[in-house]
Amino acid sequence: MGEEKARTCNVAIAGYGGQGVLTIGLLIARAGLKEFNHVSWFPTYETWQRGGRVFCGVVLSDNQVISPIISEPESLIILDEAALDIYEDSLISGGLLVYNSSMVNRELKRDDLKAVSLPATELAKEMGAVQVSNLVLLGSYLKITDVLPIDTIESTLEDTLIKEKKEKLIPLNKEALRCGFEKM
Amino acid sequence: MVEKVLISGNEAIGYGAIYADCTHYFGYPITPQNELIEFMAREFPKLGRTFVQAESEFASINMVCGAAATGVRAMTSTASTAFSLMQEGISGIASMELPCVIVDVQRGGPGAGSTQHSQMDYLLATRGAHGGYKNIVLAPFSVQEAYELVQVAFYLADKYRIHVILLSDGILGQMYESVELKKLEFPPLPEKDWAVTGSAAHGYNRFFIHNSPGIIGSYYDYMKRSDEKYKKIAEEEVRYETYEIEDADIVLISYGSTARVTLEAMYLARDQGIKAGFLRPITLWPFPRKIINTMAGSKKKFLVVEDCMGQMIEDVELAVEGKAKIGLVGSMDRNLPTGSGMILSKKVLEKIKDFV
Repeated sequence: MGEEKARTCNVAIAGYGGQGVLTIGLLIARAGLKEFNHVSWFPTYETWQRGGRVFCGVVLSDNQVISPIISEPESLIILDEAALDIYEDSLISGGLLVYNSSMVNRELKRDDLKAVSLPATELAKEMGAVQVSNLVLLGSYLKITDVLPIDTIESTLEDTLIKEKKEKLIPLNKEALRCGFEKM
Repeated sequence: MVEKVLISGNEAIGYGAIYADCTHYFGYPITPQNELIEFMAREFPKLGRTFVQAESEFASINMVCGAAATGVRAMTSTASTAFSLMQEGISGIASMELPCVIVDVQRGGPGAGSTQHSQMDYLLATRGAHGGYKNIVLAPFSVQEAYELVQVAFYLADKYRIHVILLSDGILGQMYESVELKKLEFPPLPEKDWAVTGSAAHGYNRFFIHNSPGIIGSYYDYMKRSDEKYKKIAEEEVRYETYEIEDADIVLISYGSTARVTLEAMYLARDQGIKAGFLRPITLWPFPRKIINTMAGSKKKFLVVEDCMGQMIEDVELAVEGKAKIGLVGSMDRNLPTGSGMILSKKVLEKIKDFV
């Protein structure tokens, strides 16, 4: 007791409106509240609902969150190439980049990152719903980082979908999350 | 154990209003405060309290005026564009000395400006409309504090019979943080014997509140009363927080959401051996002049961080009285020169290094 170092970690997520950028950010934040004392989720998006640039940052910490606005994230989940163009430079050196290779058609500019990619959109399509590509990427992120147990995310996902009266979507969402998790 | 929830800064204001026993809310939707009016529309009727979506912000501020005149705890919330629209009503509320709470979740201006965050209403909130009145302005920097300061706002409003402005911004309003929902306790308040609750309560004599202190009654009495009130508030209600100012060569000053970025920049600067400190005004009026003036005397430099072209910096200049160098990190220092760009701690750190 008292020996453990206070934990703090952050992740940024970026894509375009409709890809579920904010949704997986909130999911991490809600699940994070079960494991950490302090949580922040900071969204920024353009005025229109679909197609605009969307970004959010999540901070999970044992102590008060100093700034919810992340200058240089330690992890970044990227859903499309335009988001990669904007945020690739912002990652800390050695940071984790999880990106959607279905929607990124170029090589990375940086070679100092821990980068993993998977064709999340293709995988989601195979499951029958392109909308769950965000959860595929989230699953991979969880496997690599150990920030939160996947069970905590799953139970939070279930609670959220039940609250939103979308129980029918639980199996599909869990399948997408597990798919990304197991691909790593 | 106190309940801990993950809510937005806008919703936190709604929760705070409920805990502060606010019974009447009037408002009109506008980004970036929509989560607040939505919360009120959902929660107030459940609690048997009054929620009215007015036809405009001009109507909502005047409804607040009418409700507050009866002695109930009333509030409204809006964003910059429509905060302008409310100014006539706010001046009227000031003339009637009505306690109430007005929330401004700042967005970019002027005009309809942008729907994104900014801190461009500082001068409007602290200086107000015509007539030379003053009002308390409280500025939270976290979702937890937004929840708490609404309760403080209602307390101070009733304590001094004055309207209080809670100045938030788009970033703070829309971000989520974990919050402990505990009701704050306050000392007893004076009775509202001035409230218009029907003539029976006043011996069946004619009893009213009016907005013409210089036409009905003695204008001198009104000014004297206001002057004494403002002086007492300026003397007793200044609130601020300091971090590592004792040995600091450079003191950062920031409020609201940019205060979070600034605090991070201060720690980053300390890590690099720069003696940086941070002062965060919580009341923007009354502004923490004395502490700044004292620090100015000890040869410190000041760097003001605010997402506008420089507004609070004017209050810092007044406080410093020319005794120290003052710099600004403003909207032109956003990472992107667009509506969705923002001031990042990295940039503040750069400016600190340029400045020391």
